[in-house]
Amino acid sequence: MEKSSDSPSIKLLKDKINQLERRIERERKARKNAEKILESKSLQLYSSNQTLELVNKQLENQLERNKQFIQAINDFSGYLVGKSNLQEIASIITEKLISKYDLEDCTIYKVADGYCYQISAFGSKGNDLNEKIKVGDGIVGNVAKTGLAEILSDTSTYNPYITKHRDDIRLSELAVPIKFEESVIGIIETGHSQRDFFNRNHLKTITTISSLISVIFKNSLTEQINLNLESRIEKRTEITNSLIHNLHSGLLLNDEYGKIVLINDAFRKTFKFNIPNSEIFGKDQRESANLVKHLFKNPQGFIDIVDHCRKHNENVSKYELEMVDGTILDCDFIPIYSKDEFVGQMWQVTDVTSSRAYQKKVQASEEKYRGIIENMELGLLEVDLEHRILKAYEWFCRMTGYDEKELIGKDARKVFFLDKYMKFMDQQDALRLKGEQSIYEVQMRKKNGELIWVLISGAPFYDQNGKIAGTIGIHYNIDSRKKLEEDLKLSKLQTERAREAEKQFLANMSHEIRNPLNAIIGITNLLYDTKPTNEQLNHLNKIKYSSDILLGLISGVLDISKIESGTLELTEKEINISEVVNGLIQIAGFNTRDKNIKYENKLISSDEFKAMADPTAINQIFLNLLNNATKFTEEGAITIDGKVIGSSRGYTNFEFRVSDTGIGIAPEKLDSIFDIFQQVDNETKLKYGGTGLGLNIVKRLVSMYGGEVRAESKVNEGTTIIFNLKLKGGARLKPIEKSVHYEFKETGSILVVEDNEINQYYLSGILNKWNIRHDIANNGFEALTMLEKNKYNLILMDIRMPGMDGYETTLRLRSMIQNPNCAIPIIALTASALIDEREKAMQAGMNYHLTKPYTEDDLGDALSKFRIIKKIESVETNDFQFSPELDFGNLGNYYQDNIERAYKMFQVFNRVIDEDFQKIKKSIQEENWDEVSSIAHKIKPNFAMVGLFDLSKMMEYYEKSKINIEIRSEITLNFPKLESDFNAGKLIIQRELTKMDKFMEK
Amino acid sequence: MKGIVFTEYLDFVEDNFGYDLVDRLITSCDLPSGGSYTSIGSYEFSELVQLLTKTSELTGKDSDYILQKFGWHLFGVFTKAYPQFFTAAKSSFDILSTLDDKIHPEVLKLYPDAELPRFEIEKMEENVLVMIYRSSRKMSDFAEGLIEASMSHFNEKGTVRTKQLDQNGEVVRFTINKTS
Repeated sequence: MEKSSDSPSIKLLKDKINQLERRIERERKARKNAEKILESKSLQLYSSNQTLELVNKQLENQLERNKQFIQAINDFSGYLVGKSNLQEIASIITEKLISKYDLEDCTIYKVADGYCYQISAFGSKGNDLNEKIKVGDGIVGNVAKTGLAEILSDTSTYNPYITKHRDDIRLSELAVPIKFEESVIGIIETGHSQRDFFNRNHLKTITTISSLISVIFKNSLTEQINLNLESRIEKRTEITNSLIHNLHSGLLLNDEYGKIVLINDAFRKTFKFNIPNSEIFGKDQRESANLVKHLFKNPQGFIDIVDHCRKHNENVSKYELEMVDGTILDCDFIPIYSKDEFVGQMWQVTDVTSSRAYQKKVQASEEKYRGIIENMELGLLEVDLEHRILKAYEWFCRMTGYDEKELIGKDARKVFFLDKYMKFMDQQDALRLKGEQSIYEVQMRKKNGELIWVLISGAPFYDQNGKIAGTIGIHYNIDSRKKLEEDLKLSKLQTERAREAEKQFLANMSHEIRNPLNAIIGITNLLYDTKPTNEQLNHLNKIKYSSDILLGLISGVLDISKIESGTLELTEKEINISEVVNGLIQIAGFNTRDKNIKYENKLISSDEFKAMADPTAINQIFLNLLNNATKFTEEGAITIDGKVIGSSRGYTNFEFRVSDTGIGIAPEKLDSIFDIFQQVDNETKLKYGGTGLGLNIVKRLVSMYGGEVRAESKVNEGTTIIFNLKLKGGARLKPIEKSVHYEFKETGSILVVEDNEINQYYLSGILNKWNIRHDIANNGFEALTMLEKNKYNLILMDIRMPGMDGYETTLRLRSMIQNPNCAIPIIALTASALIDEREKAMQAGMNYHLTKPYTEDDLGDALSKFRIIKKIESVETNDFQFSPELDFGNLGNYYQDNIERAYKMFQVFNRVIDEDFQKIKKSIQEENWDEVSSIAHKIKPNFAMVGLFDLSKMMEYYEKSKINIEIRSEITLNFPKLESDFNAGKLIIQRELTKMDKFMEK
Repeated sequence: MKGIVFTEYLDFVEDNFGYDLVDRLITSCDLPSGGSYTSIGSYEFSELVQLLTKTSELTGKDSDYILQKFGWHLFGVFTKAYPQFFTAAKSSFDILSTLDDKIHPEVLKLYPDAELPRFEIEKMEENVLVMIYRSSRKMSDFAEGLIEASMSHFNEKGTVRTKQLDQNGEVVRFTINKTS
């Protein structure tokens, strides 16, 4: 390189030159590139230009053709102006078309009566006005038939039509229909000597011409038709006549004078006329009737109806006549009027023999089916939608005692059903309108007023249009079945009563047996003290053993029958179960002193086991269990344990266990030991004795206290009987407040004889409190003076008084026979409880005795004994107790002890429930089940919240009515019951409100 | 990308920096087309990116700035080459607001394969025009130059503010305020 030799300026120059060369090269390349792109672009342009040119040319051609077409149409329109003669127009068109298109020939046809008649023809074919082409023949006939233009391009190679012109020089043919309102009324046909001559343009032009002349064509044709009208009427008459003659029904026409003017073939045939019409026409119709009357089963009947019709001249239709040969005729008689003028009569007879036969068949099959039903002793009744009786079948009539005639048209409901069923019947009707059938049991009223039970299966029946027309009911007499049911009920009741009586008898008997038995046992015991010999002792032991067993048995039977007959009434007394058990253990321990058994009472003798219960029953339970345990235990321990396992609303649930260390019971026998007369096995019975009633009595008594009893046991280890009792009170027993007050009877007064001022004051206080009028005497003398003056009802007499004591005063009074107070009751008031003082008082003639210090109650009791006052005692606990008619257990849970809250709830319920209940009632009546369901859902908890649990349950049931259709009728039917329950419930709630109100005031 | 963009870019570079720079750009870039562009041809967009980057490198000017100026340049070319688009317009807004609806459809008729940005008009008042530029080419600077040039064409004064709405510059909001 000459880098170093180049001067900077030369180097710069050289660079510049290189740069320029590069630029030129780039420009050149770019130009070449551009040229290439341009070339391909211009090629594209060229080809699209070519396409455009082609399109243009085609457009031009089309334009040209359209121009020609318009020109042609214009020309023809010109030719036709002012022309109305069809012939003339046809000539012009054929001629002009030939000359315009250099056609071989051109012909115009009119189309009528199935033929194409030539009107005008020009050209080689020549004019032949007689030419007549049948529609469908050749190209002309075919176009006339199809109404579509047709082109034949080359008849030498293809001609589907048999043509008359076999030497035809026409190679192309074109035929176009002339149409008026869719029907072909003419044809324009042309031919050309060239192949493929006719194109779309020709077709279009000639079609347009055809439509131009179609109106003219039509008008001229119509004129011709009018000319033909008269002949047509004639033809119409002919047609009518043939119609009449060919009719299946026989027709006879007579004029206003009764002369026959026409009979048809069918009529002739029916009446077997073999004389010619000419002899019949003009005859009197009545005479003719006489000629044929022998054909009828009832000839006179036939003559009568003919006479009747003629005489009265009124429409008679479907009069049935039966002929001797079995033919049945339907006869119609129609008087004919022309412009209100009577011109004659028409008789129409139709042979209905075969259709009658069919009807009879249907009827027969229907009757057969009904016969079957009737034979099954089912009564059929048909009623329309208004319950009017349409038909009552024989068995139904027999069932009800009516004649069918009496029933037809009557309201079946009013005749047969009691008012109480009307609502139910409405429901049945509603079902029927829905096309549903149903079965129900109701009582029906017979003609003689007797009521019978029937089972009705009702189903809708339909008229011929498929609309429900009424109900057909199948009635089955179930009266005897119902009676049987009632008899059954009755006999069941009687059985129960008998059983009851038996129990009662048993109870009584046991009682009666027990008395002498007690005597036997008592005397046996006495005999023990008479120093009997060993042999006698042995006998006594046996008597004692047997009579004890017998007494136990009798007592058990008595208890059980008492429980069963419900005569065992549990009293309520406050008892301490622990003490009861203690007492029993003492006796048991004494009886088993020869056995090595330790009795243990684990019931802590505290208030925990205090409760309100029947002492006898509780005693019995523990006694039986202890006896049982003792019997099967030789040595060891018998333990009584217990605890409180729950409490609610004033009741305590105790659980007790009585355990022994005896022989035990096998597991498979555990379940049955509480059954009546059930002992573990016979061996046990032999060895241990007993009645087999003890545990059963326990079970029954326990269940009377809402408890259950069960046993746990291991053989040879021992048995534990576990049971629970729900007793009022108990550990959480609320203190019971007894409030007693006395009412003084408003008659007379009391005399108090008392020397001690303090005692006077005390007595006076009490008596004043009770509003008892009384006088006070300070001693016997005073008392006798006052008894002289006043009448008293009773005397309260102190015994120890200075001067004259109580005894003396009493003796004196009792001896004053004239005194009205002589015999009044005297109550002694003594300071000592010594029996002899009381006896002395009684001997002196006093009636009763109170020991000082006496309480208010003691005095009250004494005074009430002598009916001076009336004692009114009321027991109240501090807790509010809901009425037992309400579900008080749940109420307790709801409100705990918050009575105010309960009160508010009850108030709200009382205020709003009526409205909702009326709503639900209305919805049920309207059968608006959605609404019923929704209201029921809403008020269901309301009932529960006030303890009307049954109503709440019912609402739950009602709620289902939306989806469960089956229960709806039941709801409707039982609603009156619900309503009365509801009203009763409301009364309870109102009473409860008053109760709560009073309770809260305290 | 249409050849006119390339020929006009090189013209623009030559006008501003002389053919020396054009020569250096072509010789130093690796251009598949060899740098011989014709306005009716089509070339890879990457060539323009190369040229632009190189220009920025050799001149020390921001490529954003160069693109913007190129926008100015091209607007001048457009007014001369396609006067039909401009004669009916009375203001820059007339042009800018009708880019998507009128001008670009016309461009596509001439160059069916042209890839054009979209301009959505967000708001147009007498003196305010807000539009969103969207193009995968990310040439909003170029668009900015065009906008400014169009305002200048109609002797209008005002400001063009841009706000990029995405991370890549494919979506940019132009807010144009005219003051006269």
